[in-house]
Amino acid sequence: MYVLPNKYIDMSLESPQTPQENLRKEPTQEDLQAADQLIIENELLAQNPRVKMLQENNFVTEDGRQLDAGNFLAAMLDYIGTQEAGSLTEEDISAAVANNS
Amino acid sequence: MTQVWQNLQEDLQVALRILGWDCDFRQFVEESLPLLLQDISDETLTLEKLMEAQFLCAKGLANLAMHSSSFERFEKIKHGLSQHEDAGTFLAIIGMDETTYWQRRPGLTDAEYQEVKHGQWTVQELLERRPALILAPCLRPTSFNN
Repeated sequence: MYVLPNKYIDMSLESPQTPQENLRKEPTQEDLQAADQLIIENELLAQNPRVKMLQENNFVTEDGRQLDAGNFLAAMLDYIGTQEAGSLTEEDISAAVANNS
Repeated sequence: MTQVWQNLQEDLQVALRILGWDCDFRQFVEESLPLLLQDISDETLTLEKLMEAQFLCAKGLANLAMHSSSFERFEKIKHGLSQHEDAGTFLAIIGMDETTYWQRRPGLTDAEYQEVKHGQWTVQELLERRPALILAPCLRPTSFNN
């Protein structure tokens, strides 16, 4: 059995900044253009009224917090993707079933 | 063996077999996860704290899977959960209400959810009573329906 080495624990705990800690800064015009582009390229985001509202409000939330638009949207896409797919693909499961049958 | 572990054991064994890791998941949950969550363990459990706990769990598993083919997928899960301060906005965007998020498999019972809504649980209590909820984003769709 694999014992989790302390270094992995340490790495997780030592990480000086989560993406959250980098978030609260004024977006540059370039940031906003990149976010707009991401929305144009992704139907899921483009059709979402909440995303549209955030976009129109320069990614300031209702409670006045400034989001890092690019990072927020990229994380949202990963979140949606993993909500649908999780960590394991159908291929993984098929291969495991084949190997264990 | 506690009921919590009876519920988790089968799911975790399936995940282990599929991922092909020689990893002791029980040790991860009992020993590593408390360390990963130690900074927030005394905090009141909220939607944001649940997502933060899931984020820290995914981060630990991504580190474990660093040399496996699953690494990129765990990194995606971790990144997807990284905006935990905005958990409410995320749920609004995916069109899910908070009750559903807490109660879908392997979620809380009605009574447990009411306790959480009234601020009666800490992150530590979630870890002790419902560890599967912390692991859920990393194990779907092996065991849990979305």
